[in-house]
Amino acid sequence: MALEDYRRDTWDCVRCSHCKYIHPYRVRSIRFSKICPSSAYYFFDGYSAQGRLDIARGLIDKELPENCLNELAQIIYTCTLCGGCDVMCKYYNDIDPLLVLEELRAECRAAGLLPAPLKKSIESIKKNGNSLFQPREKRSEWAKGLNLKDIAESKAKVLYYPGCNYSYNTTLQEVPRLTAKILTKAGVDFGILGTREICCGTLALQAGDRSSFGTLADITTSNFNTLGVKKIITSCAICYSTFKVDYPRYGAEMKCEVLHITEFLAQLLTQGSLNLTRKVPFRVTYHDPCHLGRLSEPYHAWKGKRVKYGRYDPPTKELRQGTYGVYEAPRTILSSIKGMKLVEMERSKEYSFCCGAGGGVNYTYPDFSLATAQERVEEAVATGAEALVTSCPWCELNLRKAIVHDHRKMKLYSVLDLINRAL
Amino acid sequence: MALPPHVFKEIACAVGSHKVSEHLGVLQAYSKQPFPPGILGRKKPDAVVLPESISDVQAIVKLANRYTFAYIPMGNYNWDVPRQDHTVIIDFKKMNRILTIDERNMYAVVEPGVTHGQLQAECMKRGLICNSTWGGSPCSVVANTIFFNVGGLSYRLGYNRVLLSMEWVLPTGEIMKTGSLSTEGAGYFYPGGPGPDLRGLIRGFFGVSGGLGIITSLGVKLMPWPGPTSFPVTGVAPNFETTLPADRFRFHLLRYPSLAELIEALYAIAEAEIGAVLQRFPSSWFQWFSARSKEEFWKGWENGYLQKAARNVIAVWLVGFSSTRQLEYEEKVLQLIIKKTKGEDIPPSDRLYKMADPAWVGEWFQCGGSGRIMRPAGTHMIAMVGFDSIDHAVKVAKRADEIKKNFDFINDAEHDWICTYDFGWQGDAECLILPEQTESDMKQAMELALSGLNAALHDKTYTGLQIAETHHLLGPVYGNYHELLKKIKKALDPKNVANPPNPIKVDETP
Repeated sequence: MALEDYRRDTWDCVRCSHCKYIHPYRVRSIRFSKICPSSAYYFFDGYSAQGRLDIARGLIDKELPENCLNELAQIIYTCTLCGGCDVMCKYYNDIDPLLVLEELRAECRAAGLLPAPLKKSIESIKKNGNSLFQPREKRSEWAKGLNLKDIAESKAKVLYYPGCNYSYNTTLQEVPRLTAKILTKAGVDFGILGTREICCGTLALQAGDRSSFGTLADITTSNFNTLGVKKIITSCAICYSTFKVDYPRYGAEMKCEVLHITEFLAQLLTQGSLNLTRKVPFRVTYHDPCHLGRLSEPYHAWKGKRVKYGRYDPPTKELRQGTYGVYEAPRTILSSIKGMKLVEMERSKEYSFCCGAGGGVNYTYPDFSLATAQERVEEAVATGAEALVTSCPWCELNLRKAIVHDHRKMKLYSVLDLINRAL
Repeated sequence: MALPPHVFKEIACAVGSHKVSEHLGVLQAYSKQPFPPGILGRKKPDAVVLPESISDVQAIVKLANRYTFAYIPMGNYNWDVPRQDHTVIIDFKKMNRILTIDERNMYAVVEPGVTHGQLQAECMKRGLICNSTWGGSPCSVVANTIFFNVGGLSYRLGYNRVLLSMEWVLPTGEIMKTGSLSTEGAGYFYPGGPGPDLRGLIRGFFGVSGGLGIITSLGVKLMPWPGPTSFPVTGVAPNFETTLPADRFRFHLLRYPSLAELIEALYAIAEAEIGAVLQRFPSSWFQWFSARSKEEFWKGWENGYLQKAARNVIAVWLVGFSSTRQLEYEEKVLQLIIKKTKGEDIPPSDRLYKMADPAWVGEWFQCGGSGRIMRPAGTHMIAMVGFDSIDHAVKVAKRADEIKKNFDFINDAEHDWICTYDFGWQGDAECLILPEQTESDMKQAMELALSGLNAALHDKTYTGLQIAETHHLLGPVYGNYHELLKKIKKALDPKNVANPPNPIKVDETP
C-alpha cells in the first residue's frame, strides 16, 4: 500500500476526536481519560491521529506545499504507534489510522528523513542483530549454565525466543532464565537459537524502513522454516506481535504457531501442569503492553479496493479493533497466585495507556517518552497497588525509568518474577 | 497567509511561546470540515493557541482587536474552520478543569476543554448526571451547552435548561459575568438575575459558534443518577455489554401499525409525564447504532429486515430517578397507554430489541453511540429540521419523506426521526441523510436541503438552517430577526473578529 491508497481514510476522519480519549463507557475519571500519549503531551491536534490524518490528506491532495515533509517529520515521529487511536476510531468508523501513521513514516524514510537515533539503531540491527549496540556473540550469555538445547543442533518441539532486551539487558536477564527453568520444570521440550537469534525488526518497521524490516523478516522466517520450528514461545511482547501480525502482514511466511510466554503458562496452569503454591501477598496492578494487547490481534489478509460509501471489494476485510489481543492470560496467572490481589487501572486491556517506549520515541524523543511513562505510573499508583506488573521488556524498562525519576515507592515486576515467587 | 511576525510574537509573549504554534502540521489539523472544499469554504488558520486561563483568552482577544485578526474558539469537533485569512484557532485542551461539582446543589462548573464523557464519569461517581448530547462524548460541555444542548435525556431533563451562570470574554476582550456569578461570592448556581441573564444572547437558537465571544467557564445543572458509580460495561470493544440495574432502568420498544397511532402514543406518554427518553427512530438507525463495521451496516441494511420490523417504532426509557417505586409507577402507566393505544411492546427476546438495547444503553447516558452515524457513508448531514411541536414535527417529517424520494440517499425514513423534549412540549423532526464526501453527493445533499427550505417556506413550517449563510433569506420570513442579529453582532464585536461570519455576516453583501 502507498499513502495515496488511504485517501478515503483521511477524508472519512471528521474530527470527532474519539481518537484522543478512551471509550466513554470506560472513562472512570477526567484524570485518566485520554488514550493518545502524543495528544496528551503536546495538546495541539496535529499530535493526534486526527491531526496526522489531516497531514496525510494534505500530502495526498497536495493541500500542503511540496517538499514540506522535512517540517512535518517531527510530528510524524512523535507518536508511540501504540494503536490506542486505532481501537477508538474503529468503534465508530472504518478508518485505519495506525496504517496511515505507518505510511507517513515510510514516506519520511523514502525522503531520507529517518531520525538519526533510529537510523543508528537500525544500523546496529544490521550489524549486530540487535538495536542495542551489543555484540552478536553475547546474545546467549543469559543462558550460561542452564544447559539449554541449541535448536539448530538438537531438535526440540518448541523454540524459546527471549528477544533482544531479555537477552542482553543484565537487569532483565532473570526473566529468560526463570522462563527456561519453568519450562524445564514443566517438562517442555524446548531449545533456543543462541547467537543465530536476531532482532525481529519491529523498530525498522516502526521507523518506516520497510526494506530493512523485510530483510530481517526474511532471515528470521527462513531460520524458523529451515529448522522446522512448529511452535515459538517468546517473552517479548514486541517479538510476539511482530511474528504473529507484522510478518504475515508484510508477506513473510510463518509456518509455526507463536505464543507469548504468558499464554503458554496460563495454558499450563489450566491444565494443572504448573502449580503456584506459595503465597505472594501483594496488591498488584497489571499494565497491558500495547504489543501483547490490542496490537497482537490476529491478522487476516485482505486485498482489494474501497468502493461506493467506502465499502470493501471484496467485502471480506476484517477490522482489527483490538478485540482479540492477549488480555486474559496474564490476568489468569496473576489471579492464580495465592494471596495476590489484582486491581485494574482505569485504562486497561484495549484501552491501556502506552508506557511511552513505542514507535521509537524512547530513542528519538526521550522527554515525551518519559512523560508518558510517568503518566502511566501515576495511574498505577492511583489504584493503591504496591506493585506494577507487566509482560514486555520495553514497557518494563520505560516504566522503571519513570519510577526512578519520580522516586516512587512502587515496585515493578514482570509476570515471570511473580510466578517464580509463587512456585 | 501568515500572521505578521510581530503579531505572532506578541501572542507568544502574552500567553507563552509553548502555547502557540504556527507549525504547518499543527495548522493543517484545524483545517477540515466533514464536507468537501467549496461547501462552506475553508482555509488553514495562521496560528493555534492553547490558553490555560481566562487571562490568556483575554490577551488573545485583545490582540485580535488591536491587529484585526479573526479567532475561532474550538472544542473537539469541527463545526467551524477558518473561512478567511488571518484567523487564529483557540483550542481549549489546556483549559480542561472541572472547577466544582456541587453535589448538594447539583451543579458543576467547567472550563471549555472538559468533555461530556469526562464530566459524566465524574458525576456518576457522585450519584449525578449531566444531560447527554448527540454530539458524542468528546464534545465540550461548554460548547454544547451554549450551542444546542440536546440529547435523548432532554425529554426528561429539559431542552436548553441546564445552562447556569457564565464567565464570558466578550469579543472586545472585556469580561462579563452572568446570572448569580455577577454577584460577588454567589457562584454559578443560578442563571437569572439579579445580574444579567443573557443566556438567549449567547445561545441563540442554534448557538452562535463563538461569534459573540468566548465562554471560559460555566455552571451546568446536574440531575440525580440512580445507576452505579461508574458506567456498567463488560466485554472488549466493540463487543460491549451494558446492564443497568433493573429496579431503576427499563427499556421499551413499542411498535404501531401506523404513524398516526404512533404519534397518539407519543402524546399519551408525554402527557402522563413518564419516561426519560421518548423518540421515534428511522429504521436505519437501529443498524448504524449497532453495526461494528461498515460491511455489517450495509449487509444488515440491505437484507430488508429493518425496513419492515422497525417501521413505526418508539423507543422509551423508563428511569426511576428517585426510587424503585417511581419506576414501577411509570411502568404501570406505560402499560396502560400501550393497551389503550394498541401498541406492541416488543419483547427483549425479539431481534429488534436485541439490536437496540445494547447499542442504545450507552448512548443515552454516556454519549457513546452517535459517532457511529459517520460509518455508513463517511459523513452525515441534517437536511431538514422541524423544531416546534410534535404535530409540527410530523408535518415536516412527512414533507421530508416526499422530498427525499427524489434523491439518491438511503430512504429509511417513512417519516424520519421524531424526537420529543420537555415531556413532549417540544417536538423535533430531523431529516438525516448519509452522503459521501464527494462533490456529487454533496451537490445532491445541498439540493435536498434547498428543496426542504423552499418547502418549509411554502408550508410555513420551521425552516431550520439558520446559519450565517442563510439569515438574509430567512430573516424576512421571521420578522426580520436578521437585522436585530446584525445590530447585536456589530455592538458586541465592532471589529468583527469573533469567528466571522458567525452568527451573521455584517457586511451588506449576502
